[in-house]
Amino acid sequence: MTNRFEGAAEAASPHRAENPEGYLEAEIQRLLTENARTAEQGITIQRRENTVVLGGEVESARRREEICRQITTHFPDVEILCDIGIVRAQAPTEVEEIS
Amino acid sequence: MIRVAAVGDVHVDEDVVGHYRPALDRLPDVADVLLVAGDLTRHGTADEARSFTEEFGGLGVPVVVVLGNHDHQSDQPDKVAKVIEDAGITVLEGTSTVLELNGHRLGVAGVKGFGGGFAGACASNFGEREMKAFVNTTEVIAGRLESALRGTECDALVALTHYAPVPDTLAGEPPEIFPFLGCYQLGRAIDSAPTMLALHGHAHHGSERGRTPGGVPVRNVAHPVIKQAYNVYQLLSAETGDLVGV
Repeated sequence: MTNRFEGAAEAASPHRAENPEGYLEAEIQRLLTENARTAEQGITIQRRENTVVLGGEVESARRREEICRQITTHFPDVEILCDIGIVRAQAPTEVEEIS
Repeated sequence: MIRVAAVGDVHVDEDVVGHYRPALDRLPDVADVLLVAGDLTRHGTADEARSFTEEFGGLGVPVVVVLGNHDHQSDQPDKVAKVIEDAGITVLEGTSTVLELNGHRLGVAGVKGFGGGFAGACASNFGEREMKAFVNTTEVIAGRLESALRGTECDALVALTHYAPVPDTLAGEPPEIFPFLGCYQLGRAIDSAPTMLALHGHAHHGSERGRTPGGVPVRNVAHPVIKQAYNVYQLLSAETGDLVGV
């Protein structure tokens, strides 16, 4: 199944010009979920004038870099502050007793 | 005593292989079984499923999983499930399994689950065909979980889902999206049986602990929530007097 974000990853799209300012967060959220290169549903997007602050955690540095790259490609006028972390995967040090 | 390790939302593809393995290699020392609460892959492809089995297979303890919504993205969940089962991992979808561990029978019943919302803010089977199909999907899946739970004879019963059965463990997510993160019908199914523990994932910004209206402990084990390779839960401690500790 394809969607409007598929196959357009390398081309700067006119999404921003087509969409009034108030829809930017929704457009980025859908881009990050529906684009196969990112497929991330857990990224938070906060708007500060022409800057978006990204939050949440992903499984690798490469995935974090791709998120920023896709936003820059599709919304070239938007500045990004990336606070996305990489989820730690160490072994636990405690057990929870269920009762 | 039974020690259950659990994690969800690991989203494996070749990029992640090796990320969990150092902690997983230690797992047999601290747990008797590993449950994975869906979103095993990023896009639900057979190649990603193979990456999942490379990372989570051959652990020396049984591994039991349910699929998540990411595992359906390529519209081939059966193929994903087959790759995983061929690697010796049990995939539950409206089914259950019973494992003999330390002289006890651990029963695990699982479904992916679906959205729908919670008491006071849930979707109803009314109106457009699409809305009725949405709610019907929720109810069919929850019904399968109820049947699987009630049909499992064991000493300790665990429910494993991807979607959340209670809103408690969604705290931290925007309330507007709760109906896309879980449904009360899963909680009702869990409460219909003598369930000892309910595990789910899906809500990356949610919180770890909650309870069903019937009092069953619920734990959100989504990887971004627990922030480690897996959590470990100890069941039936009172039967043996074992002490909690790794």
